[in-house]
Amino acid sequence: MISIQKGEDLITITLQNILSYRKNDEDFINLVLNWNKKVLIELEGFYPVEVIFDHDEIRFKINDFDKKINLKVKMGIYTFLDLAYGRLNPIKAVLKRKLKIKGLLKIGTLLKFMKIFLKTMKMVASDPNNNYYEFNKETR
Amino acid sequence: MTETKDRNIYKKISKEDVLKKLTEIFEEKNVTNKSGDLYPYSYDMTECEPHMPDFIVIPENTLQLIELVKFCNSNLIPIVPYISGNNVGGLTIPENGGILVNFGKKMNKILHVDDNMMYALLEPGVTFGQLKKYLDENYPHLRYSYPFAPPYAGVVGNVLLSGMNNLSCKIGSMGDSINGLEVITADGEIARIGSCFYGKDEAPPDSWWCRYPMPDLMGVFINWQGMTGLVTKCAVQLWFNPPIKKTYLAIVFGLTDVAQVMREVGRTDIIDDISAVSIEVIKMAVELPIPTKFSGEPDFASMFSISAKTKNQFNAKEEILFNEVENLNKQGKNVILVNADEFVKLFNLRVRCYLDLPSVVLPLVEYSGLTWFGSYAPSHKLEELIEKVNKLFNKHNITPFIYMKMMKSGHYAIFRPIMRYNKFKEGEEERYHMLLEEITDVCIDLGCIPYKTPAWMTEKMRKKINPGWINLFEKIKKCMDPNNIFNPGRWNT
Repeated sequence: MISIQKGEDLITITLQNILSYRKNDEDFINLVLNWNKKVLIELEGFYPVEVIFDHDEIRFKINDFDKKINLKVKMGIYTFLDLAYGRLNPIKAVLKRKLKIKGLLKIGTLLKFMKIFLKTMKMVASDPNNNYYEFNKETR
Repeated sequence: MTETKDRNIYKKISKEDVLKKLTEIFEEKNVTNKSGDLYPYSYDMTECEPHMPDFIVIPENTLQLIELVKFCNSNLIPIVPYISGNNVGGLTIPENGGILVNFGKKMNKILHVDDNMMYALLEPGVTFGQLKKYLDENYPHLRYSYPFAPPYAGVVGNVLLSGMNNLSCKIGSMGDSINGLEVITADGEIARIGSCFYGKDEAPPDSWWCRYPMPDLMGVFINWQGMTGLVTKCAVQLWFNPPIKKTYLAIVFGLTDVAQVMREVGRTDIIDDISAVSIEVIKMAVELPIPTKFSGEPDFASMFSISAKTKNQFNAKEEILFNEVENLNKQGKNVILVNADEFVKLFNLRVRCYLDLPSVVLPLVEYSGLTWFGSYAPSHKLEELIEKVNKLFNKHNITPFIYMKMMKSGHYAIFRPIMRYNKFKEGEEERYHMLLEEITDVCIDLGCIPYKTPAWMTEKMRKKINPGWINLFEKIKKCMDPNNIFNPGRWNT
């Protein structure tokens, strides 16, 4: 079981929502558990958020970022939506400089991040359900 | 238990005899004077002072109500109309006691939907959820407009009080789209107003199609908060339900810039509905009861709904919207326009409560108390209103909750600062009421006109309104309700 910090600003609320989608999925748990990396995600026009993968926890920071960040990802909101809704392929996005990644050479970290984040984001976007209470029956 | 105000409304007849008469009219099962039954009707979500009714009656038909009105008029007993008690203005709190008429239980039929002339004839107890379900199942090509209200709120109460709706940028206030009314006046006479006015007996169901061109007597009942008669039927306009619908979410940076964004987009004349909320309100929907705004976050989220019959028509409207936003950004505004459905799915589906109306809007129901300054506002003053009201929220250390709408393509706006609070926490009502009073003073000074107004607010307004208006208002009230039996206390009557 992975615990994900509750978001309080627009970006961390979004990240929490996306990552929570698979929090009970075994593949996702295996990917995240003990990954122990720090990724800085920035949506242009907004502000950067540090996502901290720490053992069985995912936490967020919107200031006082750690000095050692393993990966930095920057994109505009339209790229973010295009990637989620499958209108843009991540490789093309990088080539077109729509998705800027610092740490590209850390292939292992990058690929794992893609599997954790981009894949989950696409799963959330492609889910046909539009009803919160269908996902969260316990809060009905 | 709520205290009953000191009054003497049973001078002419004893309470026992009133009960006897009510039982005769409505039958025993539809009348109560038990304090446990009366209590829930004595208060609402607001901080308005509670007051007990003396009786609740559940009418089934108009004949019963005619008899009730005649009886109350000759015995000077107040009548308070009630549908579901969801108004945010203490409007159905029986300030002087009397008989509360609960329309919501049995007089809640959709009497007729006219497919040809696109209207629905309703009894007062019909709710938004009921009407939507009925139309979706039986007339999917027609739609009604829905407010920021739960599905169990009443349609007729809202239209008579000129509520807003999710087609407001196109059609304006709900009061504008009333085709006809059936009302019982103080002498117990039934009057039909609108194109249904021909004929001595029942109006044919297909005769409720228009409001004009006869003298518009509807004005004697709209926005009068039940002070001039008892409405028993209401015909409301419906609209063609276009197959293509999309909502755009504009994320706006800069505290007051949203005002110009709403105005300019409103003027494009292509949008069904334009609303905007403080960014904190978006977060309230995702279980953050006291959200704060972080540095770098936008100030407002505005929603623009577009609908179209064909893809080409939709594309044209979309192009106009995109161009308008591009122009605004060129002028130095900072607006990010995204597809609301797409964004909300990634952000949190709970936010759909703002999109899928009618719905239980979480931020409006998660606290035991809710109050607001809901007003029609001059749209050119929105910047000033936002700035001043935001300051007041901050001064009182209360999370800003500003809700706005652009009405009728931008002819005017709705400005509604809202407050949720814990009704049962010592001192909270007073604290929030103090903020609300300050907001009221600032907004009235800037020309706002509150709607669904509690009596303490109309008292403030009366000091500003021209004497001629007040005198005319009093004369009409006296003429329509000489014994002051209809919802007394409203507008300080």
